[in-house]
Amino acid sequence: MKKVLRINMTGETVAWEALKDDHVLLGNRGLTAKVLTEEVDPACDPLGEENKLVFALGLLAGTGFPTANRLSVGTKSPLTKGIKESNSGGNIATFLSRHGIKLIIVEGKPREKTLSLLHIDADGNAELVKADEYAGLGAYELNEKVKSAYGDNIAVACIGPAGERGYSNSTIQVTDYSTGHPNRALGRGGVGAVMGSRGLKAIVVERAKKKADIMYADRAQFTRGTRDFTNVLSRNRATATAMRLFGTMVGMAVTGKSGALPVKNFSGERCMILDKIGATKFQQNISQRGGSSSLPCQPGCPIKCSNIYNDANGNYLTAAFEYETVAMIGSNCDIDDLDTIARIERMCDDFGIDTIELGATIGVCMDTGILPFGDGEGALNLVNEIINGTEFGETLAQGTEVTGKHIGARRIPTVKGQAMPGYDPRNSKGTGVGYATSPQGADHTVGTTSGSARDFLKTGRIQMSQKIQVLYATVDNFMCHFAGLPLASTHRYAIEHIAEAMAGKYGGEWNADRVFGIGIQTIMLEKAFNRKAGFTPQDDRLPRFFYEEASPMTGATFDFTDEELQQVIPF
Amino acid sequence: MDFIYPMTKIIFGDGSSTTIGAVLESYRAEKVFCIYDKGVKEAGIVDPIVEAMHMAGYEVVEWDGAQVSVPYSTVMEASKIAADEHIDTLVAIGGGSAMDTGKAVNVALTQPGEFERYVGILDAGLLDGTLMKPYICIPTTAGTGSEVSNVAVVYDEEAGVKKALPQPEITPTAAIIDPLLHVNMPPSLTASTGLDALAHAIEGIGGVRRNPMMTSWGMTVCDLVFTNLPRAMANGKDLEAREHMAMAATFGILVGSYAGFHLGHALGHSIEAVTHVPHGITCAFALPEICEWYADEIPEETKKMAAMLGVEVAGRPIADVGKDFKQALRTFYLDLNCPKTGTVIPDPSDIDRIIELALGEYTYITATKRPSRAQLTEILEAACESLR
Ligand code: SF4
Repeated sequence: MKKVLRINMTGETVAWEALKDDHVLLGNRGLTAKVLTEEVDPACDPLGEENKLVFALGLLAGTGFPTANRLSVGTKSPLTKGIKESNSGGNIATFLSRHGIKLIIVEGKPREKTLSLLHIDADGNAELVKADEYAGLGAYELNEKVKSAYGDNIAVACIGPAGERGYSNSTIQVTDYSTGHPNRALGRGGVGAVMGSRGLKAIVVERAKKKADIMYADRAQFTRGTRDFTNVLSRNRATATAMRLFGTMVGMAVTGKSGALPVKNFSGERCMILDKIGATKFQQNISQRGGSSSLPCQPGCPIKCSNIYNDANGNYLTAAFEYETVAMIGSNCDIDDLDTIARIERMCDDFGIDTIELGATIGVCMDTGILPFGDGEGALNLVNEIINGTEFGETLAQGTEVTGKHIGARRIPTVKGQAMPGYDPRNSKGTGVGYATSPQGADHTVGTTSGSARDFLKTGRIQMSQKIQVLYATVDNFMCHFAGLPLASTHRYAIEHIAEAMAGKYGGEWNADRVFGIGIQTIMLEKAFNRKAGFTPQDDRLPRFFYEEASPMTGATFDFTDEELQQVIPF
Repeated sequence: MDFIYPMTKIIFGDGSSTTIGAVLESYRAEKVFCIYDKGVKEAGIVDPIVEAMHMAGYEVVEWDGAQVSVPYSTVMEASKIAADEHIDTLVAIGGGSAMDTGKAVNVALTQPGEFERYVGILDAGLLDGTLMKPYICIPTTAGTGSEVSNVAVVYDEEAGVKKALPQPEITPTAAIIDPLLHVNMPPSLTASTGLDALAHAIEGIGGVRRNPMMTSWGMTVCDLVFTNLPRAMANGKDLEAREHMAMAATFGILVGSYAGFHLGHALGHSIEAVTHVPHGITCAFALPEICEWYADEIPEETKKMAAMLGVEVAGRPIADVGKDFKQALRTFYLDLNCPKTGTVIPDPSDIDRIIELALGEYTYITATKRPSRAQLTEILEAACESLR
C-alpha cells in the first residue's frame, strides 16, 4: 500500500511515485490534509490551475480491519473556500487497495475544454483516456457505459453534469458494493466541481488480477486488535442492532424526539410528520416493496447500514437512502412523502448534487416564500431547474448561501459557506459548536453530540465538541464513521484495539493517545490551511438567527459567547 | 447486551385485589380515577375492589367507558374527567383494553400538546411534561400482561388504524394479580388470552434482544402454559391452574416485550386488522409454522420447548425436531378447541393483504430470522391449510 499515482491534467500524464515516509502514518482525511498543505497554496482559486484533488485511502485499507476501505477526497472547496474532505464507502477503496494504491493526486487543468477518464486496468496500469463522449452524462448512465467498455468487475468514481458545470453544490459519486450503482457520494463541499474543472469525468478501476501484498510488523498483533475491535462492533447497540436493522434512518427516532431534527428551515419547531417519513415508515416501505436493508456498502462491513429503496411498484429507485437526506429534504422542507424525497435523491445521485446542501437550499427558498413548505412537487421542479440549467437553477446549484443571499433570505443556515446538515444547533448544542469551529464548515462528519442527554443545554458542550471532533478526525484516518460510534458512546476504551492493530501493522509503540494524535494532527493541518486561506475566528460562528430565535420546542438558543467558542480546539 | 427494564411492583396471590387500600398507601393516593368496562362491572369484579378503596378512605371517581382497542375518543373523554376531578392516582380493572386505556389516559392527562405526539413505534415524542400519575393495574384475564408492560395499543378512529404508545414511563407502577378474579373467565377467553401469553414467551425466546435471563423465564412460561392451560379450560375453578396461568401471563409479557416479539405478532396484528379475531388467537394461529421456521435459529431452545410437549429430541436433526414441534403445537392448539381457518381467515383472498401488512410490522422488521414475502406467505398458507 505504498503506491501514489500523480495525474497531471495539463500534460495528460500519469506518474507513479512512492508514498513519502512522513505520509505513511496518515490515512484518508489526514493524508489529504497533509498533501494539500504541502502542495496547494491556500489562497488559490478552488477551480483554478493551482488547486489539486487528492484521493486517499485509510491507514488500514486492504487489511481486513472492519470498514477500513473508505475513499476520501480532499481539496480546497469552492463552497467553503477552505480545506475540505469528503469521504464515502462503496467498493472503490477496496479495488484501489487491491492494487496497492494509497493516494491519487490530480493536478493541473487541460489546456482546452476536454474530458478524460482515469483507467486503471487489472494489471495495475494507469492511463488517461479521452472521455468527451461521456460529457453531460448522469452518474447512472455513465456507470452503465463504462461497464460495457471495461466489464462488470470495476469500481467507479465519477462526476455528474453538476461537477462538469462547476457547480459549488456538486459531488463525486462512487459505486456501491451491494448494488453496483453510483449511489454513494463524496458529497460535501463541491468536490465534484474541482474534479470537473480538471476535466476528469471518472476514475475507473478494474479489479486487480493479483492482490498487492500488505506488510505487517506483527501480523498476530494486528489480528488481535482487529478481532477485538470487530467484537466491539458486534456488541455495541448502535452498530450491532440499530444501524443494521434501520440504517442511519434510526437517527430520526433520536433527533425527532430531542428536537435536533431540523424542521422548516431550522425553525426549531417539533417535527410533526415523523409518522410519514420516520424510521418505521421507511422500513415498512422497504419491506413491503421488496427492497433490502442490512446491506454492506463496502465489502466486509459488519455493520451493514445500507439499503435498497424501491418505488411503489417494486422497482429500484435508490439505495443508500439516508438520514441526512430525509432530514434535510423531508423534515427541513416539511415534505411528508418518502417517495418524493427518494426521487429527489435519485436525481441528485445521478446529476451529482449533495442532498444535504440541496435540502437546506430548498428550505431557504420555502422560508422566503418562493414555494410553500411541504411542496414536494415544487421541490422536484427546483431540482429540474438545476438540471435544466435555468438562470435560477444556476443560482440554486451554487448552494444555500449564494441562493439565500440572491433571494434576500434572512435565515441562511450555513457556516463557512456550507449548509448545516440534519441537526438543529440549538437542540444539539455540541453539534452546533462543531459546526461553528470545525475547519470543515457545518458538516455532519465533524462529530455530533446528538443523542446525549438534554443536548439543548450548553453544559460541558465545549469540551464535548472538542473531544468528539478529535475522535472523528481520528476515525476519519481509519474507517467509516459508524464504526466509530462505540468509541463515542459505550466502548470508549476500544481505541486501544485500534492502537493494537496499528502496532501490528506499522510497528512501534502505540496507545490511545498516539492514535488520537493522528486526529489532532489532522485538525491542526486543516486549521493552518484555513488560516492561510484567510479565515479568522470570526468565521467560527453560527448565523445570528440561532443566537436570537429560541427553538419553540425547547426554548433553547445557541447561547455560546465568542470567548467560549474560541476555547474549542485552540491550536 | 444492554437493557432497561422498567419493572412494575408486582403484588400476586389469591385475593390480593382486596389489598388495594394498602397498595395505594405507598403512593400517597387521595383521589383515585378507576377505569373499567361495563362487562367487568356486571361480572361483579369491580365492586369489591372499589369497596376496599372506600374502606381505606380513598375518594374514587369511577369511569366505566373502557372499550376494546382503546379508541382515542375514550382516552380523551376519560382524561378530561380525570383532569376536572383533580385525581392523583389511576387504577384500571380489566383486560388489556382497560389497562391500556389507563396508560393512554396517564399520558393525555400529564403531557402537553396533542396526544398523537407520543404515539408511534420508533418515532414517538419524548414525554416531557409533568410526572406520570401512579398507576395500578388489576388484570381480570390471564394473557396480555399489560399490567407490567411498557407499551399500549391505541386506536386512531379517524385514520382507522391501531397505533403503539411505546413509552417506558407508562409502565404501571404496581400490578395486583389476583388469580381468583380469573375463575369465571369463559373457556374461549381463557384459551385466547392463554395463547397470547404463550406467544409472548415463545417469540421472546427467539427475540432480537433475547438474553439468558429472559429465555429462562420464557421456558418456564411455556411449561406453565402447556401444563395449565388445558386444565384451566377443563375446569375454570382449578385454582392452581388459574394461578399458574396468571403467572405465565405476567411473566410472559416481560419476556416478549423485553426480548422482542417477531413473526407471531407480525402476522397476529395483521390478521386481527383484517378479520377482527381476538389477539391471542391470531398470534397463535401460525405459531407452529413459525416455530418450525425458527428451529435452526434457536436450536437448543427449540429442543427444550419441543420436549415439553413430548417430542423426542435426543440425537435428532433440528429440522426434524422443528417439524415435530410444529405438529405438537398444532395439536395443543386444536385440543383447546380454538377457532379454525374458517373463522380466523375465512376468505383466502385476504392473505395477500395480511402479508402486506405483516411486512410493515415492526416485529417483522426486527425478526432475527426474517422470511421473504414468499416465505412468509408460505408460512401463513401452511397454517391455514393445517387448520382447515
Ligand atoms: S457502516 Fe454503513 S456506511 Fe459504514 S461501511 Fe458499513 S455499510 Fe458502509
